[in-house]
Amino acid sequence: MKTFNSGFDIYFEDLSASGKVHLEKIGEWMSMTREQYFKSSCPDHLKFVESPIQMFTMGLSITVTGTCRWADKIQAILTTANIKKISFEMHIDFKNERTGNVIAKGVQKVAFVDVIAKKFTNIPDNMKQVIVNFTNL
Amino acid sequence: MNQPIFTASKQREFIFELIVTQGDTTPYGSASFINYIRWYNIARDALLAWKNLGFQENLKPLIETEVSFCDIQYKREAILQDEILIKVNAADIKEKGFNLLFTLIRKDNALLISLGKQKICFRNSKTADVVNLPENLVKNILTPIAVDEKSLLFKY
Repeated sequence: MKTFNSGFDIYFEDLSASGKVHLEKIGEWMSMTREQYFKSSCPDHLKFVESPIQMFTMGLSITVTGTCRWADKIQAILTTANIKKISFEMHIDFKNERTGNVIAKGVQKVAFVDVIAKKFTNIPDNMKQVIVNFTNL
Repeated sequence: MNQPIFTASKQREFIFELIVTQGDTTPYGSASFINYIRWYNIARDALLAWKNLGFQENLKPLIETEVSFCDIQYKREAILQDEILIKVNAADIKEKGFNLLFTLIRKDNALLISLGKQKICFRNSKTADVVNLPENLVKNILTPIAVDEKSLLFKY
């Protein structure tokens, strides 16, 4: 299974007293991982950036499964699933590199919309090919 | 024996009010999804802080609210300066945890913007033990806003 990997550092302010990463931070990492994924996996992603077609999040879930301490490094491991005409899901596991434990699992459902026509639109072809390559069958 | 009849008009909820600000929005003017996580957390902490939760005095500095799972559904955009209401209900109240259900609507026309759910427990941050819910919390805060999730119009 092909995965896209990205990394984040843990800062003191990201953690609760028991070492759980705040939900807001995990949500932010999910959005950042999504955009890093397209930037590095889709060579002509700028065609999409400059077009009226935009991604937006239709749903998101986060399951918190472990703890960290500040200065830990987190690896985000992204795969894709449930690829449809206008939407797909990103599944991202966040793994603590020091302990090897997955500290959170996120699922984000992303859809594509034409902001001028104000309606849903198909996943652009150049991006769909990238999305299919990372599917977690 | 007469059983109390549950009706929608008797349903109670905790309500928290917010306004969408400039920093919440994307270049297209609508609030980004990350705010829904933040808004639901603010509403949760407002609910769980507005009364004494009933933990023992020696535990109070050590207790932290833990959300093991959260789910958020987008229904409609919220835009800059929208006044929004977050309605909070409790469900599935158990000895050591409960769910909060969030319904985010626009204040002026009650249009549904988002639904959210959090699975919540309280953990002693020193021992890492999950602690029992205090009776006061269950009786005075959660039960008055409790609903049967399966009987609701929306699927959270």
